[in-house]
Amino acid sequence: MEDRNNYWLRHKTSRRTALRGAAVAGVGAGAFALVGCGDDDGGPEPTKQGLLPTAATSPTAAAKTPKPGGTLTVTLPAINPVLDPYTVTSFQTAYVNGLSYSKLLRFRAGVPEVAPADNSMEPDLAEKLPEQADPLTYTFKIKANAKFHNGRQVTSEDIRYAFDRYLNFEKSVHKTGLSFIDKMETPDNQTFKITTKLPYADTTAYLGGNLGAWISPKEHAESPEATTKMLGSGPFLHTETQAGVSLSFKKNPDYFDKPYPYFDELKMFGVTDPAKRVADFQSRQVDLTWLMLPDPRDSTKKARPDAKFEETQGIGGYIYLRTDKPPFQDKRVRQAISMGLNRKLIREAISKGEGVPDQLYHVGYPFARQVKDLPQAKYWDYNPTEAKKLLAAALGDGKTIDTTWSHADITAYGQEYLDTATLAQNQLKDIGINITDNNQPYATSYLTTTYQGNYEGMGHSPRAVAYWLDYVTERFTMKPKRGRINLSYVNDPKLEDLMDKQRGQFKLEERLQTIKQIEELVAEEQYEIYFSTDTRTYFWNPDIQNYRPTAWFPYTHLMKAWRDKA
Amino acid sequence: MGQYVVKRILFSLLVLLAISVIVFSAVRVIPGNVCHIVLQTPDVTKEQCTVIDKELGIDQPMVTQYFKYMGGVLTGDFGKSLITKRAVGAEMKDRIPLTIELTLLSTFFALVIAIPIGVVSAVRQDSLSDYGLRFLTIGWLSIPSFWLGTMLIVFPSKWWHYGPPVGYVNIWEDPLRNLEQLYLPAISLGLALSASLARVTRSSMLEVLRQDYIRTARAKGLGGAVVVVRHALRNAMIPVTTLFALQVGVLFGGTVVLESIFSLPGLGGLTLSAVRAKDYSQVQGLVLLFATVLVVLNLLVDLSYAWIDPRIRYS
Amino acid sequence: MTSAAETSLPVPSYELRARRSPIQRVWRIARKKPIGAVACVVCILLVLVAVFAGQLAPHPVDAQRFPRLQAPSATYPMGTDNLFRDMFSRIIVSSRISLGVGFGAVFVGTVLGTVLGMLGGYLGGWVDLLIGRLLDVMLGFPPLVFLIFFLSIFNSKGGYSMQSYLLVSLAIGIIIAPTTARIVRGSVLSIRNLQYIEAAQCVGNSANRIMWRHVLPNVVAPIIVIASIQIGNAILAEAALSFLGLGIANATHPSWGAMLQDTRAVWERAWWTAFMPGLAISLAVLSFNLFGDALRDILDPRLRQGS
Repeated sequence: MEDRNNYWLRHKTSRRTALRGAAVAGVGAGAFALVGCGDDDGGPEPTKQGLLPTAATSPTAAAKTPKPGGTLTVTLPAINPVLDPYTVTSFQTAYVNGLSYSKLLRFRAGVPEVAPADNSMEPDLAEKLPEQADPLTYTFKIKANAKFHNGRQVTSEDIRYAFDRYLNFEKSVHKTGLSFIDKMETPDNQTFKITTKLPYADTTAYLGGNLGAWISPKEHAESPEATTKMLGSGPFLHTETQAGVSLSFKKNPDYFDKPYPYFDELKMFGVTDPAKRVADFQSRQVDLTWLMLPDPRDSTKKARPDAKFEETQGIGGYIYLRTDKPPFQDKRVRQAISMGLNRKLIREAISKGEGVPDQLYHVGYPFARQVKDLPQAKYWDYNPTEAKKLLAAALGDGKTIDTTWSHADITAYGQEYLDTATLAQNQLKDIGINITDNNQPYATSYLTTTYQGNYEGMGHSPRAVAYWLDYVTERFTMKPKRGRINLSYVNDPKLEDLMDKQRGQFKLEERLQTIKQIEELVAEEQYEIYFSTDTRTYFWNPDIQNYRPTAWFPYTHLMKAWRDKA
Repeated sequence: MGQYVVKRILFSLLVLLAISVIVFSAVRVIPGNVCHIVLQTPDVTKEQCTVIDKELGIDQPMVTQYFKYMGGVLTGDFGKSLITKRAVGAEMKDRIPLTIELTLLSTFFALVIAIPIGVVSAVRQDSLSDYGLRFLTIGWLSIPSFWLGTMLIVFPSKWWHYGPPVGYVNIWEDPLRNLEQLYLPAISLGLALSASLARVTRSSMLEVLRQDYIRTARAKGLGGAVVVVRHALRNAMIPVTTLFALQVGVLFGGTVVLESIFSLPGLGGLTLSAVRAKDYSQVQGLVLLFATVLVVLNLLVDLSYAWIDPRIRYS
Repeated sequence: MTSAAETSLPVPSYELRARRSPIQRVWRIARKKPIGAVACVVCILLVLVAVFAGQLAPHPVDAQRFPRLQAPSATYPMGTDNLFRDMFSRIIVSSRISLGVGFGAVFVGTVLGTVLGMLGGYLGGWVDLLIGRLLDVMLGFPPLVFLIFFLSIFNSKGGYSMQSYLLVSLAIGIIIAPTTARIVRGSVLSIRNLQYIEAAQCVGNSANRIMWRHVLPNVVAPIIVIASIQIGNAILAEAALSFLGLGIANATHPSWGAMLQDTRAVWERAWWTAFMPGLAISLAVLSFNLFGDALRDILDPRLRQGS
């Protein structure tokens, strides 16, 4: 355990911090933030420590007094037309929800002192972190000066209303996630008490996250404007929407957390075209942009030598397959697939060779191990000979597999996701797995079939790492029904027991022991076959101070940034 | 003439009616569950779906739905977007100015390129410059607009770190910024149009130049340039205008690609995102809007021809 | 193509010309229309490339074993792409889908347009009226809007399959049909009252028989001309669809438009990834357009003025 903490601390001060991956666009996947820290020893690239002029290395912000005022322009990959937190799980919505809405708690990350992947919380609407009388109850005190943008005070009843709506509104999409809540009480105007059904170690992490946590007042939530306008108690007032293209915000002068926010105005531009996104920053049209892969990163560095940036490890993806049916029922077949993948070559194509092999708990996660430290590390080595042997053992000599590979089209996760599929399918052909590619339009086909588990053979999705550890349950459970994202149809009593166990373990060290077991079990079984992380870079203007990327979606932390300009 | 006009207008209405029926029924044969689209997640229950179906009125028979919908359309109510719940009409209204401006601007670029080329080709018929210019125009007819659009984003930013301002401002608010945001997509869109316009300009110029009144004008001793510009070009523009009217559909199609590449909030970009998000009430409204514009333009072309050439009315 | 064009020439001079050998005749036309002749050769070559793509491509289309993003050289005539593949092989194989959809769509459009134009032009009256309105309905949709609307509804599965191919061809065919129909109708109108048609009517031939046996052969020339020009448009439409992700291409069955989409992220670093597929599209469209133009001048001088 000691060891693990050290690992995390090392990365806190390292500049190879990790960020979210752009790739996980849209529905469902939006439930997760993408994080990662590079393994400095295992990475194919020599370490870059000491080279990067990131915010982390230049804590000049501390020395300067913040200057309020000015406008900040930010690029997003798209602006989700639906802004109502009750009916959407999109991470794109979470970005902007964080500007106008508040939660009980918020992530600390997003400032130079905090590592991007640090999932610790600080109070938001709550005065302090909750008091916990027993493993089932949490008591929050609400800040007395918190007001909604319409001038009304935020009371504990508003909090109760919000969670009640998340749980019971017929269009709410957060019912499963919050199902750990048993009852809610409001002893007085400033006190909110929550009781969970079972000892649930992720309660605060979930309540401070970006799914089913935003407090939108009744008068707004039930108005016809709820979908396209935001009215909360957050640092910025949502003033204008240019559908699909931009959102404008003004400083909330009555914000409860003084002296924030510093900027007078904020403009978020949704630029869906990646080439345009790169060009917009290179031509100084925006202050802040993100998630560039190594190729555009290098050209942006050349075009904007002045810009600050932070290089992080992003996300690859994983293969899911029908483990409930032959031939993928046999774990030797799954192990063979993993050994038939040349992950290094895929990294060379996608991210100039940067990144490291990935596993169930993203390698950047403070709790996870690097793949090479797993007892099952050999399944990640490219070893076609061994793979063929395993296949022969499972299927009989000389037999091949004909199967399909379903995945979303380019509109969902971008070109690099498709490229991964192309390269991997070709590599698997060499070990005797012949794949028919099934490229499905995202909204009209993928979401309603494959993403719901209606597929045969195998498929592939960007990976995700959540800010709460219990997210594995949704992936691997068949009880009482198939978990929402159990795309591999995993039905493993041993795994279920472990998942049940970790959920109630409040002591992190104990919990991590269980998680380690889950990690190894999934690595041995290869229920999901992981690719590698890639490298993603954030860029921002040199005059923006007190900003740092975070692995978590809400852009609330922009309230702490300011522009150092006379 | 009056009778002809009435007949043509009735035909156009009939055509619009047919289009509305086609679009309406096509949208309803789409596989997939509407409530998944509305909630943007596959994780929905039966009860949620019932509520949504009722809210949207899709639990009613199709004919009833159609008449309700068309009743609404006639009063300017195109229904609500499945995804944003915003009025489809309002969403389109916000975006009309941009698409009109982009269409006009690309036409402007097209004309600026096409007319000189067409005129020179016609005046110097069968000369080397005629062949050269014709070859050139056919050449850029063969350049895909999405290719050109991307090139115009990627390379100026690479070479000169130049890029147009991000986002979109209304032309009345800030004309210069507005034009800077639009000129690159307009060029990408206008180039292909200029090729066909140049060809028509050339052939109609050739025809006009052979007419008696041009010879008369020349005989009167008017200089070549004056004759060409004042007499010939003016008359040659009639078929060019017609062609333009007929090409508006192509331009609308082009805005789908270019507004998406350049992240502009116009009707074309909305069409693509609505189709991708499966927001079929929005798609339906957009297709009807486009169709109305095109049918009206076709009607105007027909009527103006009848007005110019009386024989048409009786054919 | 040339022989089809020859047989469809208006009858009178056939006897005279027959004395020359076919080679001489082709040569004569080529001398008169050098650009058209070159375009024709390029078109034929493109078709041959598409047919024999499997034999011509130096490497398998999905072979991922070359250095990444190499500029064009003797080893890799068109460079390599970001997924370690030989661009030259992919450009060659891509001609299959690009031209396949081009020809498929034009076939659909021509058949549809010819039938509608013939019926409207020959039968006249309410049939003509009805068909005229039908064409108005088709023209009421902006072409690309129609394509994405149609394909998102009827081809919501997408992907590379025979069904996708047919639907994409059908969709593009529908948008090019009205042009063909109008031209066919015009030509039919101009010959409907000619003596030999009237004679055929007098002898008691059915309308059906007259249309297909007597009228059609005489409007073949404009049909061929418009079809050859529309191939270029269909290729462009396919490229746009591939670009928008609504085409049928995939990694093992590429098209030129899809190659452009696949490599867009690296254009800025590797110009050839943008240039080569773009060049292929432009070359094909240009050749079919120039070939069509030349055909028009040879087959049907009347059309020259009209369009």
